[in-house]
Amino acid sequence: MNKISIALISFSLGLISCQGDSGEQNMAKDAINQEKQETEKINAIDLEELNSLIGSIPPPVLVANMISEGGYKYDSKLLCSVEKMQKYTDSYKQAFGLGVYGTDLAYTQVFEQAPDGMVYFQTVFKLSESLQIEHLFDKVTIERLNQSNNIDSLLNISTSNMEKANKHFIEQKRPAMSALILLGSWLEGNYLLSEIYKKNPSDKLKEKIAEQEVSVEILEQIIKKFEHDQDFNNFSKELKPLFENFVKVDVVEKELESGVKNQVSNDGVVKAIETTETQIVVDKKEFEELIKIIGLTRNKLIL
Amino acid sequence: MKRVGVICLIAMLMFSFTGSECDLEIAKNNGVKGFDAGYSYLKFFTIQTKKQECSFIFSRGTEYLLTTGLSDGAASNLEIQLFDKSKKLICSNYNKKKGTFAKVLYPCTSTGVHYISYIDHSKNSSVCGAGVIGFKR
Repeated sequence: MNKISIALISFSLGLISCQGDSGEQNMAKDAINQEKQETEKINAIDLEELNSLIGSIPPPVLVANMISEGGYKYDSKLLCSVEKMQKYTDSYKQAFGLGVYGTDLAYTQVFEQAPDGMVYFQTVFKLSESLQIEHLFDKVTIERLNQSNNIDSLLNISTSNMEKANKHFIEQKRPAMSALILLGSWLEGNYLLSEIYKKNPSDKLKEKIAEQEVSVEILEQIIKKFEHDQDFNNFSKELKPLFENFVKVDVVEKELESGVKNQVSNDGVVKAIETTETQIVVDKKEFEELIKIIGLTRNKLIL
Repeated sequence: MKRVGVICLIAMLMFSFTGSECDLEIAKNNGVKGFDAGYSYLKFFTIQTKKQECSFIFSRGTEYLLTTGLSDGAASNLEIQLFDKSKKLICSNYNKKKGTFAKVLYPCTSTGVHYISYIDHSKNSSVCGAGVIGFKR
């Protein structure tokens, strides 16, 4: 009797273990297949071309500097609340958030707001930890530079960090992360410009916002590369109405008749003189609509 | 076990060797060193082929400074060619008689995608450099 019981138990255990193996094997197979599909999708993206497209969009420090140079006052209320970071629980939201907070960090740095700069750097750093790229951010140096208000070095290192993050994700074949950092960064830059424009309308600000139409053409090409990625599309679909409004902006080029040619100075600097000039043409109502939709899109996506 | 150790060591040595061959971060920093006072770092492009082409959106009203740097710290003789969106040459820092000038100052009047070519005129078969863009603060 005992022998039969033992045999039965052994047989049952054998079956269970076989089923377990088969279940685990199936799960492993599914995971491999899923990974294979993801790899195939990424392989379908020309990473070199994508990197080149991403690299052609100016980093946020330029927008931040433009605001500072324009004589506008620093306004911390414009920045994305750091508490929102808690809600960025998946890598897509974290990458987008990294772009948003990266722009806010540049804004605080250009205005030499060391305490806010520290808060935003810490937020950027926490997100970089979530995305496992914290090794790219030189925390000690940034904290030191922030205390000493060494703006040029601080801007240099912050801009370089975001470049390193982009390079890392491209090399690691996680291009969606690079693209989302860019989208978050670009949208936040536009948001800052548009909010400042609402309070201080000027032709200069209007031009800087409207000329983003040039970036939109490239961003659309980038987004198209992730059509297969549902998580990515959750972000990009929200940008569509905004992009449609940017299309209404015209960047018109006209020839300059200055006759001035490139000049070489004694210290070995070649000064490039262009023979064209651009003008931004946009209908007043359409521009107001654009301003409105920038805010709506940004506030929806940072939630 | 010993064999694995030896393979790992060889791999590490190979990695460290190739890593030290072309350090783009050093090349970039050497390009930044060419910035005049008042200019801040904006962007760099890697130059690892005899001719490297890239694109960037320049914005009207901003003054840009374009420099280059090499990883070995030698004086860069890389040519910078700047083209407008129609790929019409705006400027080059290279003169057949005088050689290469160090940098290009570009007060942009035309917003849009511009194209930049970096050309290595040296006799070296390979290049490890960076094309650096700064802007006036």
